Order: sequence, then structure tokens, then C-alpha cells
Amino acid sequence: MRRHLAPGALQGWLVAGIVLPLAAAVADGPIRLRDVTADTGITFRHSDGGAGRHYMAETVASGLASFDYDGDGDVDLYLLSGVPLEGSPADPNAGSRLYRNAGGWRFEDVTASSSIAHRAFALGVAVGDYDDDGTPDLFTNAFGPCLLHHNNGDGTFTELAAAAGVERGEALGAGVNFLDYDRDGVLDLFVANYVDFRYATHRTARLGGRDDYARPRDFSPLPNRLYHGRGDGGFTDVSGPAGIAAHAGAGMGTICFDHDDDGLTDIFVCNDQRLDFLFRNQGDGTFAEVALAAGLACNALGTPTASMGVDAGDHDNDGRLDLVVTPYYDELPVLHRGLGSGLFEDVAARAGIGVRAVAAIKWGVGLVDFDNDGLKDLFIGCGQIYEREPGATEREVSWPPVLFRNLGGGRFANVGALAGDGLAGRHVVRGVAFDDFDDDGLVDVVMLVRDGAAVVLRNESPPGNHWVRVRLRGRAGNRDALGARVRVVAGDLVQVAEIHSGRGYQSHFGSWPHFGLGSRPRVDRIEVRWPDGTTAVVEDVAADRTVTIVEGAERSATAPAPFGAG
Amino acid sequence: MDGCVPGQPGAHRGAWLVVLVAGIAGAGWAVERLTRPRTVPPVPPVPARSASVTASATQSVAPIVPERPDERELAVDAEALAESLARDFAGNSRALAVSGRVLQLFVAPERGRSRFEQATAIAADEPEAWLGLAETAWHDGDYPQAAAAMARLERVAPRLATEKAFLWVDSLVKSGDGVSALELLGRIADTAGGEAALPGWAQVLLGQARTQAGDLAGAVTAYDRAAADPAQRVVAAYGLAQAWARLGDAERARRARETYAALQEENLAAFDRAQQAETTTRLDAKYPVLAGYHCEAGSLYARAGRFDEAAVHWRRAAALAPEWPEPRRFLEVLAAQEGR
Repeated sequence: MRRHLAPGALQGWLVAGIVLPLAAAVADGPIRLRDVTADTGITFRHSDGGAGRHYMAETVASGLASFDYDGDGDVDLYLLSGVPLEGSPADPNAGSRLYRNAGGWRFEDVTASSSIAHRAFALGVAVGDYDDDGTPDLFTNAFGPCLLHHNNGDGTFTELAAAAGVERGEALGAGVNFLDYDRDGVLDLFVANYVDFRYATHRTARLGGRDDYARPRDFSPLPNRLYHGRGDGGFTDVSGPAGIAAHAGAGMGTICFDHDDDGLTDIFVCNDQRLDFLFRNQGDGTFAEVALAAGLACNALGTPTASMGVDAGDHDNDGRLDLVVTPYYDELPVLHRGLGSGLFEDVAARAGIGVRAVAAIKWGVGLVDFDNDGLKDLFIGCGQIYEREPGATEREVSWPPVLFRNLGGGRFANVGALAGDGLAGRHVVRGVAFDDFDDDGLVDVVMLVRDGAAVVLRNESPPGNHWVRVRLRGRAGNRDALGARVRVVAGDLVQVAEIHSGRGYQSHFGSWPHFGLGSRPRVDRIEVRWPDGTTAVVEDVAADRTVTIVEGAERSATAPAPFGAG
Repeated sequence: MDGCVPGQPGAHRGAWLVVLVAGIAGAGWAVERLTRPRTVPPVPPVPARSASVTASATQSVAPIVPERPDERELAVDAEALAESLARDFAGNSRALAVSGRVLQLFVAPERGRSRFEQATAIAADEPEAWLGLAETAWHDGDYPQAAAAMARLERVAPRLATEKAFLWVDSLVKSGDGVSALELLGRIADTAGGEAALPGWAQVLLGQARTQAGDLAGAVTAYDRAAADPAQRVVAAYGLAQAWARLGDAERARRARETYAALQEENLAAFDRAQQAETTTRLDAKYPVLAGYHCEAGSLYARAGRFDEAAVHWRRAAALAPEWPEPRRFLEVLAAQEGR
């Protein structure tokens, strides 16, 4: 330990070593996100179903899914909503909505024509082709029975949850994921539960001299469920024998990813005010809960945060996936940096992702390269739970989202004030989805707002940087290539990503991983590790396009093409 | 008691900060330090009333807000206090710093920061303002800025900077600057009688800084010492589990995880119990804190010869913290000077 630090030396070092370089980097290339909601035709308004009774289901609200349901190459939107809860007045307009991307930033409400309309209190969603027919299906977790919408391939859906054995009961659901944990090529399903809120267990809390929402720890925790896909369109509940049912928590956002790079898909579950779960896939159909050993159960201080949303990505381009978790106010976001060998370390504070984000309650999240510089930026949607937090003075119900630009070297800078009107609006955000809705090579944002209108942010960052997007199609393994690992090498820039179904806050987005390339006009190599462990390499790819790679074939296309075709 | 000493540290923060942070980690110490307003100078002798002052210090003045205000009423009261200080003492760095502190704690931290910046622009040697800037940056997650403000504080008030050492060291660790944190901890150790004599919170930070610097064996030593402090047992166990795992000692890592898990269960149970009583205790704890600032405001007005305003603020302090004798003593002094 060195001694005798000169007074003032630290300050000078900090200003010269951190503050000034950060400021310079931020000024170089701000990300621009513009609110274009009014031009899109999206009139959806989320309903939390409440009418002053403070049911727990109102607080968690909903996620959303961005995916190409009709195979036309454009990313569509499925926005979840609650419906009136017991004692609330009828609201015929409340309900989830499916919007078809018609191009040119216009979206058409196809809820009725697609036969996807329902009256479920929808909370979480994941997309996956569970019956391997070439079209993406939807699973919706709910307060009450869940929904499995089978995509009929003609623009319509048929609800088959009961027939498929995944309807569940009356629980308050949370995040959901399709995965192929046993690598048999058939998608399985992980369904998280929040807490044991039912009308019979409803209670409120007295906060600030009035009734308000109870806290999650006022309710009993619940175990989650794992369903094994049989291959005949049906599922078998294997929660008990797989070791999932033994662990009760307060699940919220979930993600399935290979935490220890052993080729097997593991399951991470955010728990509200409890230690998070990591179910490590043991390769024999069973899982072991190892979050604490992996360093993923809590933040750097050993504190179990109120974890809401989660995303996986390689923020420092070291070839290992990292995990970002969004918690409550007065809690830093958690950035679990992958150290290898299945170990993680929370580096959020020194990464700088707490700056002007600590005070907000943080929900939907994405590690997304908004400016195509080859570094994953961080976007967090924020919003209150309580009508007005009693001890929070001016902490209001609504908050602007938080955007951190990745400066490299594991450091981020909050650029919200420089990033356009899309970052200025205050909302009560829950789920957030990130995809390129206008196919211009820049990833856009859609935010689901609790009891309010959705917000669409168009990415209008300065052009110039190159990019490549990768679509995978499995053949031997699952068609969606869920669990596949993609490695993109462009000169000195090496990036990795994994294919997920279900991420963020109870949402689904990013089915086709997007890689910024900076000034590099070509990709040297795209390497794919398919879910069954086999690999494929595509070399010398021009930038600024979508590359479709089909398992067993070198490359099927270098231009956007319907993923389900063929 | 020489002056206005508000009580009940940590009362203004939310439930998670108070219970989880304070209960689990070394930051519990920080909560106390960060939220405890500093002792203010004793009230000066009250000068003779000027002829222009007609109101009596003992005359009835309607309270600004109820004596037992709710959260919103408390915030309204605090904002009025902060704005009156800024308006009436626009060139007084101390008053602006107090105004900033009231805004920071009761209204909006970002408004407090703005007031602290005004104070340092007037007087770069205003320690309360530098401390306020450090605290607001720390609470805002801007640890490099917090560390920079603490370095400025050390220039103008070394003793106060030492008193707030947790804030400084923690900001350095969270900035990823383990090397500077170790240097600072070394200075603290020199004055404390050696590294082993450092308190539990410092041992935790020592462990974290050494982990950043790659000295995992040294981190284990620090965490082992921290575990002897009941307030740091949980975070120490977690640090040990992480360090042993990275050192490749699976068995010790497993044992540390088991210790952590057991302690964490106890901690969460305590959290649940605390939440049951939180609403009333959290609000009650705020009253004496704001009373302290009203008391200091009274002193500022009294020094300026504005006794009516002084009396209003002392009366408000007495209403918010009736068990606290200082405001009543000042009012009695004022009344005596008036010959009543």
C-alpha cells in the first residue's frame, strides 16, 4: 500500500484521467433518438387494469415483442396489456395489440384480423417456432392462464395453450423464454412466476398515510416452471425433476444464455428483493441453482437487488457474454462482467452506468450498439411503482429513459441530454424492445408505458459507420437457432452474441443479432456455433447488409430475405 | 449542546437505502455520514433589536405547515426554507450551502447540487458545499465527480474530509481507481494506528480496492478482518466467497457462500420486520433533521438582525422537534433581549 498521497493529486488525476476524456468522447458522436410515435399509427395504450385498489398485478405491468410474424423481413410489434381487474370498470379497449410493420414507419393494427385478440392480463412474452413449421409463434405469460399463439403462416394465429399443456393456473406470471435445453432440436419453454398474488391474497400497504401497493416480500415467493417440448406440439412440465421447482423466488425478467460457455443453455431469473437465480444446465435434463457461486446472485456489495430486467451481451468485446440487470431506485444497475469459467464480477460502478440512473426505478434494458461503432451501448427504461414514493420528495412517477454510450475500455457515459427528444420525455416504462424497424442499419427503440401510450424512438444517429446483421436458421437443431453463438471478426474488432428468445423486462427482441462495425467496410469472418456444437464459418462479407446463414449450408443469402422461407 | 444539532441520520432515504444498504454493507456507515447534517456554529449573541423591528419573538406566528406534517407537507416546508435562505442570503455561501443541503435531502438532489455550485462560486472554501457536491454526485452514481469534490473538500477542510473518508474512498473504489483508494486508505491507516486497526467499513473497501488491483490474497486478509465487525459480516462473507473463488479455492469459497447465504437470510428477515414499521419511523425521523436546518436558518437571520424571521424558524424547529431544547432556548434568549 502506497502512502503519503499529495493533497489534490487525486482530483487532478480524476479530472485529467477520467472526466476530460469522457467528455471528449461523448462530444464526438452522440446517439440521436427521435420520438416518432405520432407518425407510426400506433395508438396502443397499455392498461394496468387498476381502479384504485392497488392490486400487485398493476405494478409489474407488461413487456412487448418485436419480431417478424409474417415473414416479410420487417420487424412487427406485439404490445402486451392488462385488462380490468376485479372491481375495475369494464374497458373494451384494453388489451394486447399486434401491429404489422407496413414500412416507412407506418404500423397497422392487425389484432383482429390476425385472430390474436384475447382478454388475458398479459405480462411477459417470448417468440419461438415451437412446432418447427417455419413461422414464429408467441407465448404470453399472464395473470391467470397463459397463452400459446400458434402462427398459422397466413397472418393469423390460433391459441393452443391448453392443448399444448402450458396453460398453467392462476399465478401472477413474469418473464418467459423458449430454449432448447436438451439440444434435441425441439423448443422447450421456461415460464417465470412473480409472487403469490391472487385476489384471495390481496393486501395493500400504508405508505405516507394512505393506501398503496404492498411490497413483493409481503407475498409468498413462487417457483418457476420448465416445460419440455415433446416434438408433437405439446409440452411436459418437468419443473420438478429438472430441479427448477425447488427454488421459489419473485421472478421478473429472464434470459436463457450459456453462462459458462459449455454449449448448454442456462437460465437466469431476476428476483425482486431476493437473490437472483442462475439455473445451470447440467446436461442431463437437470439444473442446479448456482447464481451465488457464479457471482450472479446479487450486486458487488452482496446486496440482493430488486432485479427487474436483464440482457446479455459482450459490453467490453472480450469474447465473453456479460449480463446487465436493472434494479430499484437507490440501486446501481448491475453489470456482471464475464470473467470466464462461469464466474462473473459486478463492474457497474466503475463502468459508470450509475450516473444519473441511480435515482430511478429501472426496468426494460438492452445492450445495443446504437451508433454502430462496434461497442454495445446501454439503454434503460425507467418509471415509478408507487403513486408517489413517500420518501422520495420530487421523485416523480415518470422518468426519462437512460442512455449510456459505450466509450470502450469498459466505460460508459450518460448521453441522455445529448441524444435527442426521445430521451427527454418522461414515462412510466416497463418493457423495452430494440430492433431495426426501418431496416436502415440503425437499431430503434419501442417502450411500453404502464397505463399509457407506447413510445417509438427512431434512431437518427449520424450515418457513416458500417454494420452487419446475422439471421440464423437451424436445421439439425432448433429452427430459430436459439442458443447459437455468433462471432463476428472485422479486422481488429471481434464481437460475440447469442440468440435469445425472451430478454429485457419480460419482453422479446433482437432475434437477428446486429453488429456495428465502425469504419470497417467488410467482415472477415462470421463464425457460428450452432446449438448442437457444430460450427460454420462465412468469410469475407460486405458490410451494411443482413446475412442469412443456414445450418449445413455455407451461406444462403446476403440480402434481407424472409427468415421462414425455405 | 452548543448549537443546532439535528438528529436521526439516514431518515430521508428510501426504504431500500436505509434498510438494505445500511443493514448489509459498509455503505451503512455511509448513509449515516452522508445524511447527517453537520453541527452548525452556536447561535451568536442576539444583538439589540433595531427600532424598525416591531414584531415580537414571542408573538403568535401561524405555523407554515402542521406540526406533524406528512411527506408532501414536509417537502413544502423544506422548499420554503431553502428558497428563503437563497433569496435573503444570496451572497452568503454558508446560507446557500445550507439551502442546498435542505433541497438535497428533502426536495430534489439536483436542485441541491445547483445551490452547492452557487455556494462554491461565491466562496471556493465553503466546505459544506463541497461536501454537498460530493454527496449528491455519490448518490447520483457519479463517483469520479464525487471523488473530485472530496479532493476539493480536503483542500479547504482536511478534518471534515477525513471525517467523511468513507465517501471519498468508496467513490474512488467505485470509480475503478483502486490504486488511489489504497493510497487514501494508507493515509487513514497511518492515523488509525495501522491497517489492522481500520474499522470494518474500511476493511471492506480495502478488500474491494485490493481485488481491483489484483491482490486477491490481500483482499482475503481485509475481508477476514471486516467479518469481525457485525455490521460488515454479510458483505465481508460475500467478498471472501468471490475472492476465494477467483483464487481457485473452491472449498473455502463454498464455505464463505454458505456463511453469506445464512447471514443474508437473517438480514432479509430483519428487512421484512423493518418494513412493517417503516412508514411511521421514516417520517418521524425526518422531523428533527429539518428542525436542525430551521434552527440554523434562525441563527443566520439572527446574525443579520432579522429577528422576526429568526423567531419563525426557531419556532418551526421547536414544533418539529419538541423534545429538543435548543430552539426554545434561542427563543427565550430573544424574548429576554426584548425585555419580556
